[in-house]
Amino acid sequence: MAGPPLPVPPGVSTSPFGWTGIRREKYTRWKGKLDGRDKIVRRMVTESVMFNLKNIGVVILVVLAWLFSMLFPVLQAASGGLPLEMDNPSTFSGSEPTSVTMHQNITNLSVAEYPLVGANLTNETQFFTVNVPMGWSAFVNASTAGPKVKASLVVIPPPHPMPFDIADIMVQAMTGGQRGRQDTFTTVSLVVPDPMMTLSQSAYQLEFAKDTYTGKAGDTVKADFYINNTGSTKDLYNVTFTGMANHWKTKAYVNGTNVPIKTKTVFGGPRDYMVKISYIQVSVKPGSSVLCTLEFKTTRDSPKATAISVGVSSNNDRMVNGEYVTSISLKDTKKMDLTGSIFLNNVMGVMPFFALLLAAVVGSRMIATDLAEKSYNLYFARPLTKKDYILGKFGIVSIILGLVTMVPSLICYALVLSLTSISSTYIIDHLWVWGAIIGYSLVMILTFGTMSLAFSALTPRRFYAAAAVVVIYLVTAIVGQIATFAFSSDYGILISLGNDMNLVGMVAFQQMADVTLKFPWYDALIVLAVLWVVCGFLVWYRVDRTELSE
Amino acid sequence: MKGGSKKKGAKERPPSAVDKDDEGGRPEYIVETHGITKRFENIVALDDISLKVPIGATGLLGPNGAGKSTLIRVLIGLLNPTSGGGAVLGKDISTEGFDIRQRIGYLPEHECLILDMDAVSFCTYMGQMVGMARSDALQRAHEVLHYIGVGEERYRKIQTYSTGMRQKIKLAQALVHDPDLLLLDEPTNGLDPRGRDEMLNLIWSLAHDEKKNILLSSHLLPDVEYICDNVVIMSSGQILKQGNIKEMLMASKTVLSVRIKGKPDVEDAFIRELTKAGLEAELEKGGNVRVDAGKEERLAGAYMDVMRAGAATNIQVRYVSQSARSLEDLFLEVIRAQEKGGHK
Repeated sequence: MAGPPLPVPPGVSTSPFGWTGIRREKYTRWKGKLDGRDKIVRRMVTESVMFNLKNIGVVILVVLAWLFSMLFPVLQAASGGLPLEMDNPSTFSGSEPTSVTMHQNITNLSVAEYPLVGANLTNETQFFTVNVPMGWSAFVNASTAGPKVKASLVVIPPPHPMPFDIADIMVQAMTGGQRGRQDTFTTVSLVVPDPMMTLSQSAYQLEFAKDTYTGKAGDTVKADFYINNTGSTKDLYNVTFTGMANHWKTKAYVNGTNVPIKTKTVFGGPRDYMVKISYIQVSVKPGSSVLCTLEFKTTRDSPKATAISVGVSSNNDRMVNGEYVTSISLKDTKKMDLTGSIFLNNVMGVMPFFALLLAAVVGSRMIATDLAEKSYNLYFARPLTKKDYILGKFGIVSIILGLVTMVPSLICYALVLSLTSISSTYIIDHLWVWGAIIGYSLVMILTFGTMSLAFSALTPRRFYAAAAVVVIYLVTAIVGQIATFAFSSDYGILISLGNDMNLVGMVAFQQMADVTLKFPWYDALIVLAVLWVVCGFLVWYRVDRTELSE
Repeated sequence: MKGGSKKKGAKERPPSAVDKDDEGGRPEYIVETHGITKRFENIVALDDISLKVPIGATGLLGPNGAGKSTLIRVLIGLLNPTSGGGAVLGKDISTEGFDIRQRIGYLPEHECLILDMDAVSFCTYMGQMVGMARSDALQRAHEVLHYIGVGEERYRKIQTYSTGMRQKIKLAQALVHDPDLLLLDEPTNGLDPRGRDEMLNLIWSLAHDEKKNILLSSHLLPDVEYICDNVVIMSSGQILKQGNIKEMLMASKTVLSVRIKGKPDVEDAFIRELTKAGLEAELEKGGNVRVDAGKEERLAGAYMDVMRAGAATNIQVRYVSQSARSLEDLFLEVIRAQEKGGHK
């Protein structure tokens, strides 16, 4: 409905809509209801999330995150190939041979055959993979004897091996019965002797006790072995053993006498964290041998498969300074639970990357754009407090980050559960996975969300804010790595935000059993919490001092 | 010609939230403050501001740093006054800032638009930010954009708009929830003459056709003179003058402007003669003498006194006329008076 015509200034021609171009509709009154602050903040979050999801870059990142995290686990689950839990691949029954023979030095450099004892081979074993060093050749001879398989490793040295050449030959077996199962059942280390130093060679043999271990508290397994000094000088041998969780109690005997066990921390192990190595040192006169006995006793029911590695090295003789390592695998009372590992490493493994990118793209513009465009003038002239504004902005970032962390993980777990043939007991026993997904996602959301908002509040240039988020994340990772190496201390891990989040994730997904740290895991959470508080304070400080029409 | 539709625009003010208070006593003033002082450490931004803004359109005039923005922040409850208090639309500024901000529409001076949004989405969003449901806000955004003259371009991103268009969008977002009071901070800033006229006509129409209550903060005196019925002149955190513009300019009809010619430096003698006759006289820039008769009934006698003073001092009185003061004259007058210490 047209209203009264507006005045036409002299010299201005009229248009179909009047001189101003205004379609002079009547101004209408509005009598609707206005809602309170809580609904306003909710609408602010909803509208902004929808607005951001219209950005093609954001959509691409979200879609990629979903594809990378969900596609393969869900397809695997649909095809029946996702092992949420599986038998311990190292499990062996009491009827099987449990002694593992360490094959020591090759004395003749011709083709030699070594039996693969201690391996849990059945007629389901279909493939062997043999890894050999350059120049060496090896293959597996296998023959079926009833349900069992007898196998031996045939080693062909190179025509002209170098003296002191250490050849670690690894044999792996693929089992057809349980798809995807891959067992590494033995390692054979071969050392080419120095023809000129034959007399200084040491030899030793590890003999592990027959299997009496059932995985119950109080069970003990022993490793007996001799160390023979075939050289001409007195030698000091280091016997190291690793792989025991805290509930393993170890005793060491030399010729039947209990000797103290020393420990040292070295860099390595799972995820390159510091690991604790226990060791004893045994002095052996030339031409004599000593009997070493290691006794491993579990003080509680073994929660998962345990592999204990024993290595022997010589202080004097490089010939035995290699990785003369063998291992025994102990029977587990439970199936190996791969759920935590799958979700932490496969499903959620890529999420910090996408969360970082989205924090840079979306989070960095939240306040920076308002500062640059001065649109905070409009927010603060409306019934919103500064607290509402900050919480609203954080809510927007959280939801966007949740779309690439929590949402796909929860959906993936639900799909995997529905597509995998698992027992109801499994579902009940693994209710913690839902909590772990939510908890780890919240840690990522809080870290990337608060960090991106803080940088966004500090500069009106969103590009700088985005760059700062990425740079800080990468710099902490690099500095943390350098500090770890430079000071030989795993406290450097705490500097890296990525490692801090990962540590919390490992705790949430129960992946800390094999990791020994010099600090409690919650130190990483404390570091992150400090970051959240500092970032929150920065945002509050900046917004609180942003005044209308600044 | 500006103001051409003023006569046609005479209609009753539509009912608004201000009227709802009629039952319990309608507030006589849309803004009322009592001795508001705001200090920032050692700086006194507002000094004992007692203000009464009646219903209608009121201009807030003042040079930069006068305290206009601080006053607006205090009025809408974003800053607590150090002392004093007041009410906007009958709501206490110290305790009911939320209600006040829900019932006002604010057009900031500076850029404030979200450039990545189109006009419809932006106005809808701003409607929701004041408490409207999404569907209401969307419908209302279209209505308001239509009203201010933004056509199909409302679906384009704001970053593609001209300054004039952006200024209109700023007005639209302030109108989207149909507020009871519009706070317009320099609404014609940066506009070309045509854009300025468009904006002024829109605001005039809102003030006089739609009977919107408007507080127009501006340093452009013609804008205020054109739109507003009342004016508040501020400087250095103080109110220098407030009241109805027409009445204030009427008061200046007792002033005569006198052009004289004579020997150099005789103006002082001429002014002394006028002062003896009981008139206020002072030399203005350009050599004219400003003579204030004080009362309208003394105006005729003042003419005679001027002629007599000319004869007595042997000065030619070449031109005597009643002074036609504009708001600008009034503004400069009160600012000068403040500088001389005439005003608090």
